[in-house]
Amino acid sequence: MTRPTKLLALGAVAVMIAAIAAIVLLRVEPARTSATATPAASHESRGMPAEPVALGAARVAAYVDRGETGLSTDDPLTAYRRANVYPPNSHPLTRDHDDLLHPNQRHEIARVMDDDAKVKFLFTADRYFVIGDGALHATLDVHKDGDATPVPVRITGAYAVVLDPSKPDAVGMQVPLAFTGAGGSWAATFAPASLTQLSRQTTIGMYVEFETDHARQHAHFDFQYTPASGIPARFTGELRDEIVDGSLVIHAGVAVARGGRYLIDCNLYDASDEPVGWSRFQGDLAEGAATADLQFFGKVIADAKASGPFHIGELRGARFDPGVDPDLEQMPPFAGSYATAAYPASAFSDADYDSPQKQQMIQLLSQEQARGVHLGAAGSR
Amino acid sequence: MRTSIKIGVALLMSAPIAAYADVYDIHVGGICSTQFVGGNGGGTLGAWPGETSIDAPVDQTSSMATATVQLANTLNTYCTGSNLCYVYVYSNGGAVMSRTLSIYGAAWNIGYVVASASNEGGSELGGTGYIGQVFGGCYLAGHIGTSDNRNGWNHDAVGGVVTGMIGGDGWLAPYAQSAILPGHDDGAVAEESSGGYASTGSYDSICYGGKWTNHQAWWSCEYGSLNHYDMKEKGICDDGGATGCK
Repeated sequence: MTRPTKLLALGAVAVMIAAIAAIVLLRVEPARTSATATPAASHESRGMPAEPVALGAARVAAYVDRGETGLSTDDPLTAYRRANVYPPNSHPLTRDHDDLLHPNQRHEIARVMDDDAKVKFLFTADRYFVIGDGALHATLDVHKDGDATPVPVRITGAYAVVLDPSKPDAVGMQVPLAFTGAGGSWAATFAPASLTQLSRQTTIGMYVEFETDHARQHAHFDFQYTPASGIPARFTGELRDEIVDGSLVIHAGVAVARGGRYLIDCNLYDASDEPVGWSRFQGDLAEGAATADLQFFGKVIADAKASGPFHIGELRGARFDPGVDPDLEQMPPFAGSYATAAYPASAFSDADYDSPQKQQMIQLLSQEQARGVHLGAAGSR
Repeated sequence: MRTSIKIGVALLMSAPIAAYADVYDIHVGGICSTQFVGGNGGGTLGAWPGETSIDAPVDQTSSMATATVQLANTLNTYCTGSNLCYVYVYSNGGAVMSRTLSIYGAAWNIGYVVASASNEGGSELGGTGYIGQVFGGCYLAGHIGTSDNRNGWNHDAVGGVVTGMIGGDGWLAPYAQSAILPGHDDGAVAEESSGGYASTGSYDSICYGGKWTNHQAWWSCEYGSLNHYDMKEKGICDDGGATGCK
């Protein structure tokens, strides 16, 4: 072996040793096999600093849900770590999480008429999801732009349409709607259960045509309807809770009519009725009696400095039917109430979330950072 | 010396760690498209050294359910194991991406998502005559309104994936649609949507608080002169995958 070749070989060995050392360091964190998110520190070691994440990096501050302002400048590795201080299935919940606190609240806002910019209208309803014998209350409000002065209109047509893209004009079925009212305020109540032909999750469009003295307008919105025969599962009201590895887990009983992949969401409130956190169960439920385990991550509760008894709200869910339109078959939201035991704040771990997936992502993004490609928010445009 | 090298190689080979990642850059087009390339705003895949760009076959003409399962299939193909993906979404592709992450969970290795002019929060143009002129007039274009896209899935449960948002405020023919969209808009979506805001309303920047979990404003609080079509490549240019953007 020539001297240059020896030097090259020595260099290669040095690189390999360094790589092996890095591998060992990366593997210090034991793989976790739990199906649920796991705090990085054990329940027993609560109060102690969390184990350092791979690469020896210090803990990072979680992004503040709804609270971050301005341009992010975090590099992708830092951004990933800050986005995953809490597990994907449980995050803090505040009064600012309007969409999660009111998941059935619609989002239309008033807009100008197509041919008269001096007049605004709002065509909306009291809900997005209608289940079983429930009814949707639709409203049409027409007023001058800039103030609330009503603008009288005439309703020239109104109908509900069962939408089916496979049919001509996507009209699966059409029924007239009876709007009542006067001037610029009109309303109609529609109970889709009257459409007895429906047997599964359906998208229904509400259409209205109206005219002022100067312009005509049509408007529409859609909503989701689940007929009674299409309800995939129901909450039984059987609930219990426990602390598992420093997190609060609420076990929700579910009577499953059709097995499959389920998404179940729930909010948690403290004894003062302040929002604390949200949780999502995502997993398979077999037909019959089943349980959905909702994990409210320990650090979410610890960071909120919240203590029990906690109570739940907005317990809701859907069965996912991939590729079928609509693909989310809705469960009736839980209408009851449930309060947990009166756990003190000290019952909950403040350790960061960790998982094999998180460690792998940190490893991959560390490699990318060394390569200098895909700088994300930290890059210059 | 040769023995030492062999031992080193053997140790490396036996180490239970993924080889250096294959990196894929997934591109997802907008409403009424079936791919990223082509259509309004052109659309050219970004290119990064040593990586593979993928034009995701996602049909956004008739059903969000179809688009969701197709995007999941693409992510299953390229973004698992030791692979790493970056995802570049445009317009309603941002809604499809968010929906897919929400429904399927965090099974994929996604470095981040760059969302250009995202319709994740829906557009007030849904159900108007302007849909045909701006988006192309497919069935789905009339059913991606604000409630469809906001009530339709949980935008906060997106698998821990960071999404960088960028939005424009330029004029787009036939112009009248900007009177319908609240606040600043790019002629197709308002900044309530392109900014990842959890509540509808009038916004003059995408840099305010109130975004869905792990949604962020990247690179600019607003591209004031760029319309919806101009925005298609902008995120790719900003992230170093192309040049020549406005």
